[in-house]
Amino acid sequence: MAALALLAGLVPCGVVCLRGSPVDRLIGLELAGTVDTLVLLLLAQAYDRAIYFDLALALALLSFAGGLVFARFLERWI
Amino acid sequence: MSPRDLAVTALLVLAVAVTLVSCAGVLLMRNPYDRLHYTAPAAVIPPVAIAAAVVLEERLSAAGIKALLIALVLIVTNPVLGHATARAARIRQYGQWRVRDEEREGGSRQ
Repeated sequence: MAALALLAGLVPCGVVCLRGSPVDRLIGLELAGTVDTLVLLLLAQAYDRAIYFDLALALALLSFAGGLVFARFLERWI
Repeated sequence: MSPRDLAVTALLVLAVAVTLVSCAGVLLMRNPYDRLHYTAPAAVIPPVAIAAAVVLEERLSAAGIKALLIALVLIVTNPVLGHATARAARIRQYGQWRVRDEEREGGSRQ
């Protein structure tokens, strides 16, 4: 239930990603990564499989690395 | 409903509410710096609330420890990402990260 409610939060993130400056879009992407991580966390608990928590952990780490790379490129080259 | 179930429900409601308010804030704000302020609550309060809910349900099992670890990762990485994004926004806007002469107090050159 909470995961479904959190999925609604992806809609504003998607709207921000679709319009605005590149930096605005990056912020939308970063927030979407955070919301996705929380959704995976809740789904892992809902399905009662401890191994699924690794997916949320991997997403948290990879969205951080991806956000840093995007920010670095947005500084100068894009 | 036991007190533990009540606490878990309250934590989940808090997490969902803060996340949705943050998402609405990011959507409604007008510039990147304002928008960045709204990413912080979503990366701090909901992960802690959800991890606390999982720990209440599972105690400190593998699931509980992993939930706490995920919350820790989000709390640590979000400020770094926010800083990097603000830096990128400023460099794109002004061409440099450092304080410009016009921004110094009184606008005097040093």
